[in-house]
Amino acid sequence: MNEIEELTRAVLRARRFDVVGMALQRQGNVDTYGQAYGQEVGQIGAAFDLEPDDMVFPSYRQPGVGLLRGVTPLELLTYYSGSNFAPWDWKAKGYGPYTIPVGSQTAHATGWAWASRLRGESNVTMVFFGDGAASQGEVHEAMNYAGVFKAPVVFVCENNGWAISMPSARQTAAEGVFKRAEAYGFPGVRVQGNDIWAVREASQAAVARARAGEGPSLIEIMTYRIGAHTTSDDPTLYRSKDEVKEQKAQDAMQTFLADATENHGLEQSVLEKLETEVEDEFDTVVETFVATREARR
Amino acid sequence: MSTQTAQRERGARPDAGVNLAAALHDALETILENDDRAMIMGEDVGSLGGVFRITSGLKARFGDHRVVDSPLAEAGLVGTAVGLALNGFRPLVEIQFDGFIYPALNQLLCHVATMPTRFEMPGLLPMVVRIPVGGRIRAGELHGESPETYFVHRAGFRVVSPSSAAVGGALLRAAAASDDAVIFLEPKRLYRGSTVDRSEVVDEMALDQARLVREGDDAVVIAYGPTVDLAEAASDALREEGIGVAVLDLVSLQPLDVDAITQIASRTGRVVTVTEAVRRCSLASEVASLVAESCFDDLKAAPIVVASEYRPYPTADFEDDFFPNQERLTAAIRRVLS
Repeated sequence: MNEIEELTRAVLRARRFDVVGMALQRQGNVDTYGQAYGQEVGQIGAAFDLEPDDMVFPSYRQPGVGLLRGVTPLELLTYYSGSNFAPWDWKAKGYGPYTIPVGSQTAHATGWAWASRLRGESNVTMVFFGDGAASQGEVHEAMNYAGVFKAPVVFVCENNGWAISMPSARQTAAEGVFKRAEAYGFPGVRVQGNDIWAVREASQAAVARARAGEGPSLIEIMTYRIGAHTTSDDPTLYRSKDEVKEQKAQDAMQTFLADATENHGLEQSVLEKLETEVEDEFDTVVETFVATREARR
Repeated sequence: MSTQTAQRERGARPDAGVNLAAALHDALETILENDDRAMIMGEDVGSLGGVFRITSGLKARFGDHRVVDSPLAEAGLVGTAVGLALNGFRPLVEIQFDGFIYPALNQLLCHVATMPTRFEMPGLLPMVVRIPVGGRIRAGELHGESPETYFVHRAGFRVVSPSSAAVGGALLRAAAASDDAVIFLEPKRLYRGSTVDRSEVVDEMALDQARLVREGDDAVVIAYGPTVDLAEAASDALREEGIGVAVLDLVSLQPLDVDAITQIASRTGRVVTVTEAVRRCSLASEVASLVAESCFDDLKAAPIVVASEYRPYPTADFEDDFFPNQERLTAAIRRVLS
């Protein structure tokens, strides 16, 4: 599989997982699910070039990254179904456990990266958090510690426009989050989440800097949470249907797939083959997952 | 810095025995010597040696990668220590004062306490969080807190507290050797208020065993950390009247040494528990409840809890009234005896 096919497969799997997670919740087979709908392309772009011995600390909305790191769809689904808080071997997979108090995982990422540096290893750590989490004091502390101790960590803030019901304008009066990096003494950039190439370029630069021992970086991915915060949320209470409709029309996945076929040599027939493979994969996943759930009841 | 200079920094004369500060210092030195994965982290722990000088000289000897002066931010301190512990290190975190632990409670309660059980990975977080606790040293506001209840209430930690210079070093070495997350509560009054001859220093301590520090058949005072010397003084005074009051030093606040507690409670039948914390939801009331539930048939009197007044820590002029003192403790012992 060439690179564009791998990227495409990663994006398709991320989206399919999201569709399946949502459907299983509505059927009563998953307790609560938080969709990544609309954010998948930026997430894949950020994590695609990481090495197996690098470490990722997710928040709880990066299933596509988990799949990319080798976590199975069944393992991910198990998290949402009430039997296990960390169903995957997160140290081996390099995809950390989900963290519920938002932002607090950034300090773990700094510490993990710091440990790698102390041992003279070249691996890097990437941590995901949202624009809402960026308001947490612990995120400030984690970035500040990372700057002081030159921890090889890449902070990835997914600015998806909404923290449950609050728009990002209620999180900060500044222009987003990326400019904070300057105050911590390291570079910060903002990239568009529907442009996988721009995100990859920013990520590659940040990772290279960390590997070279030059310390952390901050990447702010501008994206949009098309879905609800979780399956318990009702976004119609706080944002307009027109806004969501407009964002759906610019869905990052469709933008990416069009770009991939038009400009990056992805054959239409190959895309269709990948789509079929991913659908088949997830049909089996759902069948197995539901059977396991039934057996547990 | 030489060890002798370090001792002078800590206010100890080489011939004057060992105080708790020196015992803890020497234990930390041994821990760093014996395990490359051990590292000390905290505010002002390097060049200054910590505000209580427990880490004096250790940065000079082991380097600033192993004795790390952190930014002034406790959530980041404990949170990064979690990351370091997950990735192979064994951090020994120093919190400067008890009142400064609160910003780190999110990390401690949500992550440190829960991760090993959430992920079914015992030994996942081999870290020690050292916190100077307790009062009666005329320190400033929020410098004399007794935060143990937060940690024993939240299942997932080991919580221990040394009650003297004799046991402090061995207990700290045991905490560092443990693969569990240990909250290590150091009664700050005893740093220089407890001094023992080197011959009295205990070589080894278990992390989960109480110690009977005074024998007696008439009653027992169950204490821990900063109230053990108070209980010993009350016991010694009553012994002159021919009253035998045992003193049980819990040592481990979590898990509780239930066998030691119920044995001495049943044998004496008269129990007083004492704490510097306030009584509401305290460990002392928990122990009294345990005794009442488990030893009811053997009890000759209702257990009594002696605790601090239910209010925030007062200004220094009022701390002798706020804390349990020997007079109040002795009165409680006489009540269970009557």
